[in-house]
Amino acid sequence: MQLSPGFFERLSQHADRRPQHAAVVTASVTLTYGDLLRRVQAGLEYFRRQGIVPGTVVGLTLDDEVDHLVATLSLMAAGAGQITLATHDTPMLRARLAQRVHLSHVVAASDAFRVAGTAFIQLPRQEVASSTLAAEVPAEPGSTLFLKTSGTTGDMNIVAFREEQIAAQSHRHDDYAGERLLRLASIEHNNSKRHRLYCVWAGGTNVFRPREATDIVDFSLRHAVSCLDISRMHASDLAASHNARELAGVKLRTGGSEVPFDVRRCIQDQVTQNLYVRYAATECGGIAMARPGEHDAEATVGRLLDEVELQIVDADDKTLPPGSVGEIRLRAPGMATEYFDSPDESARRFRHNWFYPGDVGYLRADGQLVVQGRKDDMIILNGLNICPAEIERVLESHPAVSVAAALSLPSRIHGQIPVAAVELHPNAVVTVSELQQHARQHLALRSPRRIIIMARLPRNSQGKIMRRELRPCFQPSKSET
Amino acid sequence: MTDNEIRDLIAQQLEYACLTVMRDKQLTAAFLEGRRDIALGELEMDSLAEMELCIAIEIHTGVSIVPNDLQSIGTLNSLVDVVRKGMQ
Repeated sequence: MQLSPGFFERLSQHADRRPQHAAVVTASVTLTYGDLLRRVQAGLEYFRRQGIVPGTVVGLTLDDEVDHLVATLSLMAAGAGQITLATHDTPMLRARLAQRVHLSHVVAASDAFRVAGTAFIQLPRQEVASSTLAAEVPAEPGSTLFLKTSGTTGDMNIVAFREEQIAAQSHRHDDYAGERLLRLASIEHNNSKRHRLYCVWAGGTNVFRPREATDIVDFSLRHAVSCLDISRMHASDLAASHNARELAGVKLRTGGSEVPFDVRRCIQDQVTQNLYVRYAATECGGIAMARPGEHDAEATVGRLLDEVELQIVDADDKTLPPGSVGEIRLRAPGMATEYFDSPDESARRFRHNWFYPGDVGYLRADGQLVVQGRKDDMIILNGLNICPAEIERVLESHPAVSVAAALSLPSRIHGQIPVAAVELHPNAVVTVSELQQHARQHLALRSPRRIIIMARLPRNSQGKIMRRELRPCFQPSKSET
Repeated sequence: MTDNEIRDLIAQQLEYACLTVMRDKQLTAAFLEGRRDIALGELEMDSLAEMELCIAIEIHTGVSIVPNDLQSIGTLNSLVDVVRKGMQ
């Protein structure tokens, strides 16, 4: 197999072919591909002077998104490995990640982010920006990008991607070539970082929003954003804003957690018809995408992206026909083949040249994929399999409910008991017993046996609901609304 | 959870299970007020109704009761006692 060129070579090609095309746009600055190449070259020289050589593993603690992107590309050009030690992570987590990947250096804007046992490199923005020397890069791309992913066994998993794997994943996002891409999640989040790199690979324009810019609509219009990638939570918030319809011409992409049909309909009615809902995994990149016209009551995640192979299998790994619910397994160019330093988890998730993301769902006869939820989240009540997603879909179909999260409580006698927490629309009024009646009507035995109404469900920094944190709310002593 | 709240919980669950006896509003009210006991056998619960009653008790009080043990508890008042003692 022929290796893809590295990111530096790809960047050089864009700078050569379209030197004036905008590579990076911020509220105050536009960097062309020529400018970006010069910055990356300068970064490469600077890192080499600091002792970064091929094989070195560097931690990046940079919340300035442009600095982070430039440093990422410079380290790739240097053939160094890298991992994000996000500013929003705890010092303990940063130290733990540093230890696991045998980090030698940390690059940060402030020495408050030093990590014991590693050399510290403060990023001198002026020097990086002003250097224009051409630098030699390794003939073959050899850098490694360490991405962390939430594990199911307590500790997080780390995936070590070679540069050519990220390049191979980028081909599934060639459409970024003509886009001006704004992602609300910071580049310090792995998913965002990867899409920022895909965009560079395609020769598109990465638009970065200053943290203080709270009006997404205004910022997007001002900077001619053509593709807005936001979490489901932010998409719902956006749909409620007064000027959301001004983004009617923008492609809105979301995913990361299940996006129910009524939420999609609301986004399409209130913001834009150009709604895309994706299904992806850290271990392999993009898997499927539901495009405008494909959204329906089953909340499909659409057809598979190019070169993605996906099967639905039973407990014995036998392939199931369309329409049958089972475990999802897949393979795609650029996919990881194991987790870094987690052999047990690798053996569980990577089997027979397939990756098992731990999701259950079905493929429809029309080729659309429906993901019903995490296999680990599957609730088994006295032998009855219940997908949390089906409970959530029903609760969210109640006009008073904005978001629902279903989970199980362990039971010595019944195995697991389904329960749910809901967040209501502003000013909506409903009682728990009304919601229970609604659930029983649609779900019968699959209905949650207890429902609580919360002012706000616990979410992580990317807006994803943290179900595990809900469990203490169901202690018998807690009173219901 | 008070005795009255335990009685409420049980009555609601039996009502949801559409048990004929619980359609007798006077009987239900007497049970809720602690004036009348009802034999579990009198309720003619099927296995599904028993399971749902045990789940409801467990999830709201933390007290686990095996559905097969229900009939040996005898009456609803005894069931209230079992739950109360289990919560202590």
